[in-house]
This record gives sequence, structure tokens and C-alpha cells, in this order.
Amino acid sequence: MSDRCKTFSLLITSPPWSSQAHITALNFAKSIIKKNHTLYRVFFYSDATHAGTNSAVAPQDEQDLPMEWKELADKHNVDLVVCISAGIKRGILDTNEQSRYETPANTLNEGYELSGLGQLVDSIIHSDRVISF
Amino acid sequence: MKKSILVIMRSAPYGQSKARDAIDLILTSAAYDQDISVLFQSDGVFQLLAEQQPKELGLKNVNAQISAFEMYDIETVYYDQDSLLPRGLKPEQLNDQVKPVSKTEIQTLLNQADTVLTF
Repeated sequence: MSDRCKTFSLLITSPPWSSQAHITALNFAKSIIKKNHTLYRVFFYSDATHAGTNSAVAPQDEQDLPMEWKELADKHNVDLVVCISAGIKRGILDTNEQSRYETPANTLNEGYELSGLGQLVDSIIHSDRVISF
Repeated sequence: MKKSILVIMRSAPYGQSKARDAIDLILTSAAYDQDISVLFQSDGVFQLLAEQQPKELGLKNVNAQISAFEMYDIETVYYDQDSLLPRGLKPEQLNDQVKPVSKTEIQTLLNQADTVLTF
């Protein structure tokens, strides 16, 4: 029973640059993949949406969390979803929202998708476990 | 597919956005026809104060949104009765649509849920 593979999703509300929880979420995601479980989706909500920006520059001596999430998505095809309502008020806009609100730039990083809370409900429906950070 | 979701509210209503974020999630889950329960516990019981006046802060009334849960057919809404005394609160000060539960009843809520999310 302990070897059975499970489907996980992560709900992250903690900010990438000022909380340990966000780093723990990334490490947990890596472990899920390493242990051959399935990571169905990572949903970035509240201040965690800052991870989805393409405009942040990490200091050389700090962990680049947005980049590490993107690498994880590229390598393992993980679905990274930034909550649209939480994201756009923090300046995270994809090309659609950028043209809708006529803001200067598309600020959503590659590998991330901007979508609604319905995607979180969908994760709850399709995962054995949803873990919050 | 329907899942049983328990959202535990452990944060005071206005110091941060947790209560508002959780309410958005609760209403979305109801719109997607999920079986949703809500438990107010610890500082989360402050969200239920009937006389709160957040207009002063320029914020929406969290308790008014909680009162609207009924319209979304969310009827399993509880507070931890043991969270009141340490905070000097009395049941009659709270939103009367929300029912008190004991530690044993909370255990049952946790056991029945497929997914538990804490805000």
C-alpha cells in the first residue's frame, strides 16, 4: 500500500521571496516527482502568484524560485497555474489580460498559465491529496 | 465528480487577505457543485462577529459574505466552540447562521473530508 502512486496537487499562498513555506513547496514538488508520484497541478494563489512573473531578477546568492518552478515544469510537464484574480492585481498579466487592460507588458513567465479558481477546484477533484503551503 | 472539501478558517478577518481568499475559494467550490463545509477555529472566529464595521478600513464585510453562504447552498458551516472563551467572545455576538461544534464533532468533520484546506 505504501508504494502505491498517488496524485498530488499543491496550493501555494505563501510569497516566494519572504517565506520558507514557498521553498518547502518547491522541495515537496521535487520529492513528489522523485518518488514517482504524479504532480497534477501547482496552483499559485494570493502572494504566491509573484512566482509567476517574468520580470523578477533573483540575486546571485539567492535561490531563484520562479526559475526553478519553470525548470520543473519544462522537465516534468508540471501544470503551473497562477490565479488570475490574485495575479492581475499583483501585476502578473498574460498577453490576453495585458491587451484587455492595456498595461505596458506581458509579465507572466513562460511555463505558467493564468487561470481561475476553478482550476484549483479541478485539482481537488482530480488529486488524491492537495497540500497547502 | 463530487468531493467533500473542508475549509478551516483560522485567521482574523482584516489583518491579511486570508479570509477573503478563502471565501472566494469556498464560493467557487460551491459554484462547481462540490460538497463544501467550513469550520471557523482559533482567531478565525473573529470573522463571525456580527457587529464588525470594516468600512472604516475600506474593506468588505467578511461576515456579510459568510451570511451569503446559504444562498450558495453551503449549509455546513461551523465554529469551534472552544475558541470563544480564550478570546472573550460569546455565542450571541456571532453570526447566528453558524453552528457551534465540539472537539469530537471536529474530528468527525476532518475524518469525513476528502480534502482539508486551511486559511
